[in-house]
Amino acid sequence: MTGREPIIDIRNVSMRFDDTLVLDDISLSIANGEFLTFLGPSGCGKTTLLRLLAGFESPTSGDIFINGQRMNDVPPHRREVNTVFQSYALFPHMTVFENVAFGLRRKKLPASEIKGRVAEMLALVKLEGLGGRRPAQLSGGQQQRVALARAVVNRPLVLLLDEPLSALDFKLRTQMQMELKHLQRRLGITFVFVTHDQAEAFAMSDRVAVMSSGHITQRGTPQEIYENPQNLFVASFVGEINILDAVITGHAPDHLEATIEGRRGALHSRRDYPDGQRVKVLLRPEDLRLSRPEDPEAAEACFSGVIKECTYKGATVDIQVEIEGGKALQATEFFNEDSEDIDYRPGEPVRVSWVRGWETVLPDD
Amino acid sequence: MIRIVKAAYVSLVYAFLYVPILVLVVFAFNDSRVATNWQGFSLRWFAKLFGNETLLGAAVNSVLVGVLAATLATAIGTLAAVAIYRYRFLGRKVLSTAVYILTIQPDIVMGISLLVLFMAVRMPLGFTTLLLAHVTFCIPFVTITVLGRLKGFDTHIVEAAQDLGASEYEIFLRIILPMILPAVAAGWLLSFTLSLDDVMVSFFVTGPSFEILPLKIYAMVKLGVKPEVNALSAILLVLTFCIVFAAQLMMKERREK
Repeated sequence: MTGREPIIDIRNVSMRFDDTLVLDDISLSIANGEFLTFLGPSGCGKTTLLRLLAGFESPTSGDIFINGQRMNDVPPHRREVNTVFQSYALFPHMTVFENVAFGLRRKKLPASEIKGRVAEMLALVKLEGLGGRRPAQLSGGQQQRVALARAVVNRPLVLLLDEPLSALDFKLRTQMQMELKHLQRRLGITFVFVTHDQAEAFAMSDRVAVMSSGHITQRGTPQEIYENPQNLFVASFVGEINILDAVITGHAPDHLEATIEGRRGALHSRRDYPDGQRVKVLLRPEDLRLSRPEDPEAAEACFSGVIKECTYKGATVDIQVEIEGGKALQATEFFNEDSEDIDYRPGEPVRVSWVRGWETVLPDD
Repeated sequence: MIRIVKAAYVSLVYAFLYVPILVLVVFAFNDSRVATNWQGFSLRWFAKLFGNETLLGAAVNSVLVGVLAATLATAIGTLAAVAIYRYRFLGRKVLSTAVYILTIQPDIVMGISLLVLFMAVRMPLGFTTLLLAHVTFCIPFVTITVLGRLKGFDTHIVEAAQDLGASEYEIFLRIILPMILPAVAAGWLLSFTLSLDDVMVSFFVTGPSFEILPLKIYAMVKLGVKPEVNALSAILLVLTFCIVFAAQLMMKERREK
């Protein structure tokens, strides 16, 4: 990782289209060399934020600084940032070489240098020998690489990527995620990535900013966001999660006593809640433990229930359990070489517990 | 049975459309003064046509006006299309609607209104007024053709060019113009054919000093259809076919790329 000084500073930026507030008072610093992802559902404002950085839109209020300079009124062609578009937006009437050389030619670099840099770039994205083709003659994956090469060859301070992988199939997408991450480490360029795909965000980013209706609802490393979601939106947006209703009933030295879905249980929380407070208990499917009534660990289990459905996923099994009171929980069990005890049948009674302290407790609002 | 009916129906439609044209072309080669009975193959009407200087002069005038009007209309119409597509300005919606209205309004309205305008500014009717009129009615067709192609493009392409450091001028020259070129060419050809066979508007806005082919033919036919007119029409027909075919080919080839 390179320096920690901010390359991008977004200060109190709001954006309004007609009567709709698309971005509401966003502030964020992005460090030089960082891989930051804006993650959120469609319509949350993440693409608008990226377009503000690129210069295609101007903020209604607030300021954007890139490399210490205020950028609000600087047009896109005067900014040292480049964009990879979701649709790639390759120039259809130009060859791959001309596409990649376009930015360098605008800078009036000598022809020999342009040739060298484009060739080097095409090699980096594994497109050697395709310089003479037109975009329409390339596959989706190859077009994606041209779009990437066309932006990166200009050596921008920041590379903006607007859901660039969404049109690729699953396998190619996973492969490109790895390549993008390696490319970013190798070049040391700051990447600002936009996606609605949580797995994609987590696979590549140093830091993720989760967005929802014009706000950044949480920012942090992928691990922080997955393990300690600060609100229900983040919790349910990033991955599968079980949400249980609970009421705090008392305080013990190392935990809170509570009634969870009608059953007495213990909760562990960093925050303190007064007695009588209604809370939500969040549990990831992989944190739930299932056991048969006759197993020794079943005694500590909070809930008893019935298996509704098992879905075999290869390395894991997704199990749906209906607990007493009728709530359905989603549990994920990993195959273990020396035990076959996750071979449940629908209708079988089970006990449900979770790893102590892995639950997240949030106020019910 | 149904197949036969269908085939017969289609044949009838095509016959209705093309038999008159075919008859016209055939009689252009008829060795007879009266157009209605066949007396053997001859090229004499073509020979006579090329000896008719007033008719040839009118043809040259028509081509001259056609080329100039098409070129001017293409330049203006293309820029209008790019402006409507690319920029947000006051009256943009009005302008784009007005363009469509101009294509469907009756020619006679345009002819009379232009005549009134030229009278009002005391412009003598002749070459200049005719050219201005032709440019006027060709512009909307060019704009619509070019706009149609612009609307088919990914809007991010222009943004990508901006993002890579291109100025407005460079975006127009290196991105927009090459991409719309087939539509621009098609617009030119369309304008040329529109100008070449216009009677209605031209009738109002040209004077005796400047004769053009369609009006000349119109005047000649009043005294009965002469076989020379058949010959001339045959030539014009072949020319129109070539131009329309070229225009189609250009649009098609680019679309396939």
